[in-house]
Amino acid sequence: MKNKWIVILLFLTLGACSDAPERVVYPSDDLELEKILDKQDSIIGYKSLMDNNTLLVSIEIPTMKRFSKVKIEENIKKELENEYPNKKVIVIDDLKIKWEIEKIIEKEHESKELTKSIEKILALSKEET
Amino acid sequence: MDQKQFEDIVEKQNPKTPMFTNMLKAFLVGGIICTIGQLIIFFYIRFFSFTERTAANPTAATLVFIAMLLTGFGYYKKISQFAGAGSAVPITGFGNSVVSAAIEHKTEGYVLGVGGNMFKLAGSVIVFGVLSAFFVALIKTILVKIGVVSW
Repeated sequence: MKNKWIVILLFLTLGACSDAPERVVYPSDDLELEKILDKQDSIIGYKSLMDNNTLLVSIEIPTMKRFSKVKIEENIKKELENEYPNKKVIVIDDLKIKWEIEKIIEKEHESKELTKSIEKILALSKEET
Repeated sequence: MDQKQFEDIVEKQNPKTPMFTNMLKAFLVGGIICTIGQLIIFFYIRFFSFTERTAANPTAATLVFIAMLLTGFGYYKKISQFAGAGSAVPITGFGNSVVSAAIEHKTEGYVLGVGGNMFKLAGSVIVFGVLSAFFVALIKTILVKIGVVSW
């Protein structure tokens, strides 16, 4: 009985463990983007995807700063829009989007596939229900 | 002996409520329920196409469903005896109140008993929720129309 409780409590407490936040840009040849995202104080990690038309950035905001999540997202979006005026910029703080970007980076999608997967993620982010 | 003296005597005779222990128990059990909820949120985000914003809805439904099953099998009673408000305040308390009222009135028949009394406790919560959601939406719609805030 006691062992059972220890296992349950361990399971519940360790459920919060996760990796340290990462900073990844894919495709990795864009140093300018990395520079802009690295100098942001309000985020601790980011993962970004870029194709010919779209720039998708998933950011990680520290827990206590999540109250001003929308503002942080908007500020970074504005900054990136100035740098990439020809691209549609999406900045979002969402675990699902982050995990989906991770999957794409792992599979190392090329240009056509990349566009398709970015479209899929965009559809996900617009989901309301 | 007047009312006040009587109340004083009763208060002296009554065993003291262990406030701190009760709060600690409620905190722990409520916290465990919320942690389970968080794990369910992660499950839905990982394996289904829910985002952080939308995963809360199926999670609430799942927690209510689990609480309903636990109430039916008689386990939730034990949890709430131990934890008090810790098990009643999270959304699982809602499932418990619906099913426990239904079980209580089962002997009076399915329509007049179960159907008529199922929402005795939870009904007010539903009415309050729907009504307040309506008014909040109304206020927000007016504010958006005026141009004070945006959606």
